Amino acid sequence: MRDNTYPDPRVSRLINQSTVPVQFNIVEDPGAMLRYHSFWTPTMMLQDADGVEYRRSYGALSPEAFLAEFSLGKALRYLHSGNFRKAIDLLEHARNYTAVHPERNAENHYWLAVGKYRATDDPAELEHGWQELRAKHPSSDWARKTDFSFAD
Amino acid sequence: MIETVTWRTSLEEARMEARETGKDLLVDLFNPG
Repeated sequence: MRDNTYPDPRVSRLINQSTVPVQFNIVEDPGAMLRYHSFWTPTMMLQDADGVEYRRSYGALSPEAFLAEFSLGKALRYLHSGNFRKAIDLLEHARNYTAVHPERNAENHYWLAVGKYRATDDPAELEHGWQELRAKHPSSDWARKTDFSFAD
Repeated sequence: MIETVTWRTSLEEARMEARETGKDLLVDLFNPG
């Protein structure tokens, strides 16, 4: 991460633009693992200023995988807080990053449909978005989560 | 010019900065070994 991912200008720009990055060396500060209930490094967490966590990732990420994880995390942050229009914008943009990661792209489709549904209260938005997900990623876990909605 | 990530090392200061700027926190735990 330190050698390949964080120096990537796409990654560093995104981090600096929208977050305050804080880093703990677990050799110098072994208590950090306990404080964050972590068991493996690298651990990456997206939190708000009060420490509410919206996304966590274990293990090294390539620049492309980081961009996808980070963009999904930012969108989920706004889904959680009920700002569905902002979440939709971020999820639309996240597709640029998740396109090359099938499981993350499936998740992207899933939450985008949820965001549109919650923003409009129109069940057709959910059905349409989930149909797209099922067509594009039929064997994904995220498609399986929608099975109940399409059962006869 | 390449933009680098300026990591903070104090959680409290990072939280304060996040509140002031309306940003979120990216927390990274790493093992340098």
